[in-house]
Order: sequence, then C-alpha cells, then structure tokens
Amino acid sequence: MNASGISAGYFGTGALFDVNLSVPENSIYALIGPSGCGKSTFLRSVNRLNDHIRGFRLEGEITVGGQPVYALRDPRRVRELRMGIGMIFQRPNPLPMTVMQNMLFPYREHIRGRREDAVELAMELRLAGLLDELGGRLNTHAERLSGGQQQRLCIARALMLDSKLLLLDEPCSALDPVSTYRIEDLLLNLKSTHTIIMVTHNMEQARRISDYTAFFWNGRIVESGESERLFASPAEALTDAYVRGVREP
Amino acid sequence: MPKYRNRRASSAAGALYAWLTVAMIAAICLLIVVTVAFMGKDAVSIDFLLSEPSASALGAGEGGGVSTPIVGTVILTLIGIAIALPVSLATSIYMAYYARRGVAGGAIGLAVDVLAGVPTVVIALFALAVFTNPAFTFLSTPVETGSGIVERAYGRSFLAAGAAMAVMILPFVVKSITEALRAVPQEYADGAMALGATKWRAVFRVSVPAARRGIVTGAVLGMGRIMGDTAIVWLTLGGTLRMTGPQPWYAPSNWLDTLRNTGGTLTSYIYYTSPAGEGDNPSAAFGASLVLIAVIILLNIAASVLGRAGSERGRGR
Repeated sequence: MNASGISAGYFGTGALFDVNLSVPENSIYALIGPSGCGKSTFLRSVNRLNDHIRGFRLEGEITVGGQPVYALRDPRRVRELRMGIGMIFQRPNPLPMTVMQNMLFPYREHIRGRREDAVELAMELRLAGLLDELGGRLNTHAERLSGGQQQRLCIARALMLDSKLLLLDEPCSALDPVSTYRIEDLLLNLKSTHTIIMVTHNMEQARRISDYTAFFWNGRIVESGESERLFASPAEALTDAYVRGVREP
Repeated sequence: MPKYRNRRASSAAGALYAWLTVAMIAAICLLIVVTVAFMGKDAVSIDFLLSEPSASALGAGEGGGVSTPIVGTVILTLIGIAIALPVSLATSIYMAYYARRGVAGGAIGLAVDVLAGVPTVVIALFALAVFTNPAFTFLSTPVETGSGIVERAYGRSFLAAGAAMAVMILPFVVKSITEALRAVPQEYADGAMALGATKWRAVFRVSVPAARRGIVTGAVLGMGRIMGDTAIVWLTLGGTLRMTGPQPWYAPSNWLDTLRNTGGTLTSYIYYTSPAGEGDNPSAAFGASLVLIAVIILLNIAASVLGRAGSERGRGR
C-alpha cells in the first residue's frame, strides 16, 4: 500500500493534508494520534469506504498492490478492490445472522461459488481460533458472542475473501485485555500472509505488535518510521510529547 | 442547606405529577375497556360471533351477529397493509439511505407529513372521486345506464376501500419504518460494504433484517388504524351491513366478486347498531366494540411475539 500527496476533506473542511505513507508488505503498520486527527479518514480512504459519505473529496494517489485505487471508475471494480481488502471496525460488527452465515456472507456476495467450498474454507480458517472455543456451535447468532469473539469473527470473515491487506480501525478499543491479547496474537500470526494497517489509541499496543508507526496530528503525518525507533527516540518534539503522554511540547 | 431541601421538594412534586398523570391515563384506558366489556358482555356469545348481521338494525333486538363484519375488518386490513407495506418499506429505505438532505428528501418528507395531516374522510372522498371513474371498474362494480352502457364505476368495494386505507396509513408506516432503519447501527452497512457488498445489498440483506422489529411495529400501527377507521369504510366500502356480492360470499368461486362488492366491518356495524348512529341496539354495538378491541389487542400480542421471534436471536445475550 502506497499513498502519496493525499489531501482529503468533507465539504471543504480539510481532514488530511499532503499525507505520504508507504506500507511494506507483510508488516504491521500502526497509525497513532489524537482523536479527529484523520487516521480513520485515511484508513477508510484506502478501500474507498468514504465514497458513500456526502461531501467527501480526495486528492492524491493511493495504490494497493500497484493498482491506483481512485482511478477505478466502474463500481464493480471498486467492489473487487474492497474484496481484496479486509476491514475491521472499532465496534465489532457481526451482521445480524448466525456465525456461519457471517462467514459465508462475503463469499456469497462475490464468488458465488459452491456453498460447500465456502464452508470448507471457513473451517480451514478455524474461524481465527474461534471454532474450538465455540465447540462447533456455528449456528449461534453472532450477536450472542462476547465482544472479543465477535471481533475475531469479523477478522475471520475478512479473511474469507483472500485479502492481502487488512485495515483495522481501533480493533481492540472496545475489548478487555485478554481479548485484546488474543487479537494481537492473531494479527502477529497473520503478518506472514497479510499486510496490516491498524489505527490504535493504545500506544503500548502499537509498540508491542507493529513494525512501523506513523504519528498523525491535525491531518498531517508528523513522523513515521520503524516503531522501535519512533517510540524510543522520536525525532519530532510533538511525537515525543504524544508518546510520552505529555500535553504539549 | 435550604436550597437542597427545596430541590428535594420540587423533585418529589415532579415525581407526584408524573405518577398522577400516568395513573390518570391508565384509569381512562381502563374505564373505556371496562365500560365496553360491561355493556357488551351480554351481547357477545358464540352465536353472536358466528352469525351474519340481519338486514336491518333499526328495530330493537335486531342487528344479528358480527361474523361478516369480523371478516370484513380482516379483509380490509390485509388489503390495506399488503398495498401499504411494500410501498412504505421502499420509501423508508430511500429516505433512510439514499435521499440527499436536499430537495428530493425534503420534498418526500414534507409530502409524508402533509399526508399524515389529511383527515381520513377527505382521503375517503378523494378515493371515491377517483374510483368511480369508469377506468377503475375492475376494483368495484359497473353502474349501467338504462341502455346498458357503463357510465361509471360504483367506486365502493373492499378493494377500493383497501386502497384508500393504504393511502391513509402510508405516512405513519413510513415514519415508523424510517425511524427503525435509522436506528440500525451504520457499522452494519459499512461492514457489509467493506466486505464488498453493493450498497443496495448491504441495505437489503443487512440493515432491513436488523430493523425487522421496528418494521413489524410500523405495520401493526398501520393495521390498527385500518381496523379502527370508520370514515373510509363508510364512504368507500358502502353503507351495508352484509356482504353484497354473490352469495355465498365465502365460496372460493365468489371470492373475487366479494372483494369487488361492498360489505361491513366491525366499525360500520357499530355505527349501524348504535343509537348514536343509525340503529337502536346499543348492546350489539358494545358487543361489536368489545370484539374490535379484542381483535386489536390480539394483533398487538401477535406482533410483539413476531417481533421478538425476529430479534431474540439478535438482542440480548
């Protein structure tokens, strides 16, 4: 994933200004920064989910796997793009159906293959570790799962589409520490096959699992680079203040 | 601490006021039900429920049973909701997910509000004006002049009244369903779209099922209004006590003709038998009222069971 010169906003109010970000394959890239600094807008721009919001406009170029995202005109191509990008939201969003129906939803929407194949694939994924935990109760309504289980179901569901890129928007901020740990574990496992971009408010989390970190402030990237370096010795005073939890430099 | 004590006193007064209001509303509601039950209990019997109304309800002791009025109420309600629900659902989906807040959305919203304010008797009058047009003969029966030429349609039938009922309840059902759809978390639709579903599929497969309970509530609200309406029945179903189509009206071969002809409902039966209306049989009127209230309560119970069945798997862990 590569973004260059991204400026975006809603109804003329800027949300992002000249953002440049390059995410290496098979790495975890954390986006940190205060609320309203544009992290989520940026994340949602990658799979063009902001298209449906009125007044949204964007300049610059985002490429995913070399493909320029905003060059796509045909809505079908946009859907194909979204197929290749998994997205996880802050609040777990299982669809109001059973666990299995949730898993099959993306498959049914696009591939329209045989149901057996889809079920087989879902089993292969072991539902991101959820299968053993549920003891095979796949007809449980998804909204009856705990928050952490729901979030892992959402991740498993995103994996059904054979996506190479995962976008996570504060995936753990609604979860308890144990569920958070399980999800972090899952993400670290997925790193070998996926590229992961994750918005997080949890500095510890960014430090623990991410390879790279970008610090957003008022719609700009103040600093980005290897997490270890960025957290240990920030180059910018603003970053230093933020990661240490000091109010202003 | 005088200020603090004062606040406590005003809080207690507020609680008392709220409690008294609730008690009064409950008392009024109870009074109506008890009065109707008391006045109507002698009239209601198995025979009353299963026999047809008599030809006239003018003389004391006349009126007969309420079998066909019950059927009339059910038919009218089903026709009305069958027309109104799909239209309302489509309108609500448009309002909740597609309408720009600009001209189109505003115009529809305004139209819905205006329609909600139109008295039902005006809707009935309008429906009658439209459905008496010869082009709408298929909804009712032709009125022929002496030479056998169809001059106009009769304009009064179950189908015509059902269509008028659909127009009458449309704004209420639309508002109720729109609210239900807007209450569905945006994450559902976002999530489905992020998984690559089209917006339409996301709305239709995910958001609409999630709003199922509110949709059922909206439909029941509309059905309740149809059951209780009198003006539209009076003007567009024709002032008849009995089914006027070919007899027996319940024979399958006569079904379509029954729908194209006039009949009575519980509300028109009440009007006919009550001294306040045209008859002189208050106990039959109260008996029919009791039946009507019972039917509406049953409908609400059924709806809440239906709504819960739909969402039980969803809400609550």
